Amino acid sequence: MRGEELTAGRRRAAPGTARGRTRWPRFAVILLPALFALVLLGAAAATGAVPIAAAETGRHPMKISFTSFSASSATTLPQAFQTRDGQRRTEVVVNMRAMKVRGLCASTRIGAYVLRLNTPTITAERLSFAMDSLDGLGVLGQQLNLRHATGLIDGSPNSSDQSGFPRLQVGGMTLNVSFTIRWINAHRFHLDGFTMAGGRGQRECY
Amino acid sequence: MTPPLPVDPDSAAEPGHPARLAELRAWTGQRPWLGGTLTVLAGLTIVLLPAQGFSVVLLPGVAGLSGFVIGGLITACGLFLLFSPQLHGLIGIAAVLLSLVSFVTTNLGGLVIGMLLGIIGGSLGFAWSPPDTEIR
Repeated sequence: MRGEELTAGRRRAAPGTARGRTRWPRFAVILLPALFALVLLGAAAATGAVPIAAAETGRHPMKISFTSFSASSATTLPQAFQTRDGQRRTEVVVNMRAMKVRGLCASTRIGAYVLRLNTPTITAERLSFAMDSLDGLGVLGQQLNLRHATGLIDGSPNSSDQSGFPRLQVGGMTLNVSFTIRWINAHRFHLDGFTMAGGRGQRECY
Repeated sequence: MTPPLPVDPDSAAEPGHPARLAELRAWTGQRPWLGGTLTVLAGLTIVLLPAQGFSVVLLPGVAGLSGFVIGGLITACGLFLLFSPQLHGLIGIAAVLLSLVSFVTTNLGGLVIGMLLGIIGGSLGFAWSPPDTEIR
């Protein structure tokens, strides 16, 4: 056989013509456990046992409505970034702590299809997002409370559970706000069960 | 880096079999080229996803940086498989582990595509055996 010579009952490839080869049993030995671990990770991520990090790019108009929202706002600060075409723009970064949203509905339209998500409760220990532009704001409210943990002006006790941060509580409010979010980052984000529906006949949240 | 590889003069001299093709065949025969290529593609898939749309990336926290770190490491593993094939066992396992880690840290491992490419590429790299291995 060309390129090989017989040595003590075994064939050895001649220098220069020898090629490595794949040992399929070894391939299976590492591939199968990896796939098994992947299935476990997928199941753990689906049940919320393992947190996953995701960053999404692109522009997706979303309609979001909720019945109540509470959070402790830590900081709001401007930040500059540069777009791909070289323009410098300013965004406003909002950091929130102990965010809790009840009765949330979020929907987005992809062509003729509508994807809608409903969840009774969403909590996040920390939530940060950057607003690029505020296009419109309309508020029709019943209750808006802003309390601070260090005490009220008249010295009366306060009930905030996040010392050092002002506490914002909104209830029975209709808020129509349209803004662009450049990025969003959540820590210990928890969905307390949700239903998701999609298709041509689905209604948007509003 | 591996030294230049000898070329089989017989295969290069065959009619209709260009010398460059013989060189490429000799080069690919000395390393897990399929596993390395798939691993490099896996790393690039994971890196390029968060990089889209940004000229200056200022994403905060792990979610923004992990794509570049994990994707870069997987790409490096692929390059090691191609250019340091003697490390194929260790690097193959590292590529598989990093691909699994990317599932929870970077957009489901580059929307699953990059992660699967990394797992298959790393497994191929691990399973490859060099040409001086004795054949029964």
